[in-house]
Amino acid sequence: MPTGRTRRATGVLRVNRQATARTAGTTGPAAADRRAGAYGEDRSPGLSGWTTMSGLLPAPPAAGTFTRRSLLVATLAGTALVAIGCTGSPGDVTDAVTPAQVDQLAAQVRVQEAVVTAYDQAVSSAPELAASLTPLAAQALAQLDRLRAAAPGDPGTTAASTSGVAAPTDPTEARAWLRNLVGTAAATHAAACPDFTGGRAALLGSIAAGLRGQETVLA
Amino acid sequence: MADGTRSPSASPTAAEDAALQEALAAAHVAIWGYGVVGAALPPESRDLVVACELAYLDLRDELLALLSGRQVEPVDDEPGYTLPFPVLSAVDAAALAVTLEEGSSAAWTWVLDQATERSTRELGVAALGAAELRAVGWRVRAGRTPPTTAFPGLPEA
Repeated sequence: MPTGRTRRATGVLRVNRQATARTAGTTGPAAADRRAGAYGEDRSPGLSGWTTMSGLLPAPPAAGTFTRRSLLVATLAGTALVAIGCTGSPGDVTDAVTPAQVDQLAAQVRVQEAVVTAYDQAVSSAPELAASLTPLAAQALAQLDRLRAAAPGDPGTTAASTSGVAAPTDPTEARAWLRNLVGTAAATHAAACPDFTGGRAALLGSIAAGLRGQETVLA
Repeated sequence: MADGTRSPSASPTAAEDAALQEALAAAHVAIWGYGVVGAALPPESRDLVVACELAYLDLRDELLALLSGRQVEPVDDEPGYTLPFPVLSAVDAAALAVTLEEGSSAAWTWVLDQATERSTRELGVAALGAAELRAVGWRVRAGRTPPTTAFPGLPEA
């Protein structure tokens, strides 16, 4: 696309030039509208992305919108999730899951359990990795908790498996082993994500992205 | 909407389109923001910045085509945006890049939440993953530990 290429070639310089004029965007009616509109239904969609990003502004709209029921389905544990279960609320197709999706969610829980187990095994086999792996392991466990909460009827007590392969004792090899497993899990969650809708799709996509990040760090 | 563009309320993909508009807005911001990032980094770091900006230009073009194909008027970029903090050093620049990527991630998780079309969710999960990969690199440069997040684009709790 010629236009796009032209902009790409000059992109950084173009934006540098804009950056020198950025104070124009910090004051005046437009900026005021931007801030005031961050929570309103009539906010400018062209600016909401930035208000979402701005650390100086109050809680972003994205955080508020994610409190909707669809995300609660993915984030809250317990009876509320069981209640919607396979049948869903009448007329609420976003929250409903089919029996096949229930099975698939359970499979994703198993995948994530294997990631959590793999971190434990890696640290056990190569204790010198503990310092670097502990924060990542905690993230994987948090992901598992949310995934379990989003899986209707998941017992949450199934023993995890890492395909029966023990973690290597050599730290470098253990890291590579873990990286491979985390990357595979990320790909599995990403592949499953489009099969769902609403909060479950958002959750699976987010977990997949988080594991992709871990895979990079483990390299 | 003028010129025969579709009214959002009349569209079966209205919520999805609105979320895509937010993702497009985030892409506009990122394209602008990476200019600020690039200006604050030494020349040897510019390739990375350009790569990030190119990713958002591609994403923007894809979103423009997608929305236009649905007869939805895409949101335009703005001449300037409010920086969340002064960008005076390389670390500030990396922190701004993290902010840009996390904003994009938030937009794309919302797309995943709202999408009715499978193809849109496929686009969303790919875009979200790419944003988090870039974010991890920038968090490392910004000195943040750990550089990963459990739930990119979602509230932590």
